[in-house]
Amino acid sequence: VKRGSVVTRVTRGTVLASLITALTLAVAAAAITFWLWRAREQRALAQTVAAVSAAVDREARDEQATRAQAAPEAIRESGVTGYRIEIWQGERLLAANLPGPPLGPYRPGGSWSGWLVADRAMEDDLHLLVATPTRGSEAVRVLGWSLLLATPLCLGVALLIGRLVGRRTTRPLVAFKRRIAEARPFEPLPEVEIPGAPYEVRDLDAAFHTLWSGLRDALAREVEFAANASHELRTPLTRIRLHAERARADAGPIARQELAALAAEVDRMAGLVESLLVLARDVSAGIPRAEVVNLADTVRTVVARTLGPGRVDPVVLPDEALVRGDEDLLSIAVENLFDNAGKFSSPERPVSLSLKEEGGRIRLAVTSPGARVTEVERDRLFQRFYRSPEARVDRRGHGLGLPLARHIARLHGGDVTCVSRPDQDACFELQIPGWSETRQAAD
Amino acid sequence: VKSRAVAAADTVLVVEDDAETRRVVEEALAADGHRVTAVGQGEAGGKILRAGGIAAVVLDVGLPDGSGIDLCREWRRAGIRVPILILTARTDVSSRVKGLDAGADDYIGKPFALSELRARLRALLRRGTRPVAEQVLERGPLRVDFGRRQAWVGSAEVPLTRRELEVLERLFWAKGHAVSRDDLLEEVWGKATPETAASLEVIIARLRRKLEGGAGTVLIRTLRGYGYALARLTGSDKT
Repeated sequence: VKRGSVVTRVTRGTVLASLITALTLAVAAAAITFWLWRAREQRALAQTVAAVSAAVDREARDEQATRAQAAPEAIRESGVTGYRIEIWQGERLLAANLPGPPLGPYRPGGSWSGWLVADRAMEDDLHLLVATPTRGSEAVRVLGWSLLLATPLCLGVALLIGRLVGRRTTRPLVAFKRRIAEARPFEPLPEVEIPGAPYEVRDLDAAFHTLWSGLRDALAREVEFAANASHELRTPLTRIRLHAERARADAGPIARQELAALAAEVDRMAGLVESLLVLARDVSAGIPRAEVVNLADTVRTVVARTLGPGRVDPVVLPDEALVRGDEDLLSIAVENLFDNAGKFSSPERPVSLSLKEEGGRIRLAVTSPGARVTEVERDRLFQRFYRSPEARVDRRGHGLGLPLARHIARLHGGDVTCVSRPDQDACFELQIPGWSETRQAAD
Repeated sequence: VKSRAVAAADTVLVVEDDAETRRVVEEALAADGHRVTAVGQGEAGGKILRAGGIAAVVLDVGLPDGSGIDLCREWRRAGIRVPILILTARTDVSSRVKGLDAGADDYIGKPFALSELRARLRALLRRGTRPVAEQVLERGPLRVDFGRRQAWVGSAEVPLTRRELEVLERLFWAKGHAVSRDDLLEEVWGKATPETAASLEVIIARLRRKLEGGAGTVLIRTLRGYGYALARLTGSDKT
């Protein structure tokens, strides 16, 4: 059971409730015990009072003496033990059955601290007191023992009940959680049985279901829109490109150059359209039927194509750097990374790169000497359509290069990040799980 | 439509819904010396294909009467083995993958260069109809499943890239006969240049390293000055 879980909370609540219950019960038990004892004692005291006063009357009659004279003998003859008996005449103690400091003299409305007292006024101004200690300590002892015995028992039971109830309560929630965890974008919610779900969880489930369906539809519409838009744009681009290519065949040298530029522009625009299509792909969808891609070959091809000879450090790339993924997408990511690096490095100082396998991941680092990435730009550079001030001077680019590279890397379970400090040469790193790491997952 | 009546075994069928693209492609391929039949709908394309005499199909993915991918799958299921080149988006991974899964032989991204389309089509026509029955190469502990694009030596999976699989598949189809270097370059890379020739040598070396292992077995033979061939083996050789 995790800390702060519903089970813990239910257990904690149950324990607290039972602790309070146990305490209340113990106090109540002590109070009732005390009250019962008091009632019984009072009855006994009243009987004793009656017996002693009768004995005084009888003794005085038998001995022809005054009641005051007969009192000591009467107490002795009554044979009462266990109670303190005193007979007073005004302020004078006539007789007592036990030694020790007297309780009396009797005063109307007087209080007897620590004693339970019954009294009776008799003839000849005599006053009889029968008393027993209230034994308050006994009540406290009863209370203490009840507490001592009841509390651990209650706690044990409460703990057990709390966990049981907690587990039962959370079962529908756990099932609900599993259902959400198994959900994949674009797909209907998996049918997970939620046994004995209370109406709250059922309502939650229904609400979630509605939300999910709504989001799924919205997402599907968006993806469809992106696909349709890119298809619609692709058709005219294809036409323009084909016309330009055919026109080139019969064109003069100047027109030929212009048409080549036109075709290149169409390709760039197509690249932009395709970028939007890639960015519309959900990262969690991953790459369908990923194939083995040698990133070292991809880098070699891209370097030759984008930077041209001399723009890149002659580095020794490994023969193979295998990942699982989509060759065309990865090639776009690498291309954008180099394109970006090439844009910000000066022609005299070539872009440098390193490709290596480290901790099961293939890492491609591209450094542009002389370029700096400020702390602020670090994150902004990955925002779609963001262009740094330098990039805006140069009219090339559309601010999708790095976001696209990052998105493609994320589709492959990796990422693209800026790994250089503001005072270092700008360095961007693409990392993707190596083929050996993804082998189990793919089967 | 004009050349439908004279469809012969070297006719290329173009199924593309955009009339202008269709016309330009048709004219360009005709200029290359192909006989071309071009239609705008999948159903019409299917009819022509079933009538026979088609050597290759250029098929657009987005057609007014359904997806080119479904069409491709339908044709393959009906036993049509003509090479199919699909036109799709370069980055549209799912449609590309679905296309290849549906039995297409190659794809080309839109917008495409006519020169590239020509080269790919030439490669497809040269390669001819794909052998349909055999999809798995087995040699002792080695097993290559070209349908699933995976290879194993024993129980260990061997990573083979697209190019490596394509070269191996091409050699596999030749059933031990030699395949010239230029044919391999044309059909796998689309062009024979000094760069692609160097790539081919690298890929042959990698295939040997990954698949031949240390057991001293020979899988790929080099024919000096000509090309390569799969070594013929006795016993477990199922090719």
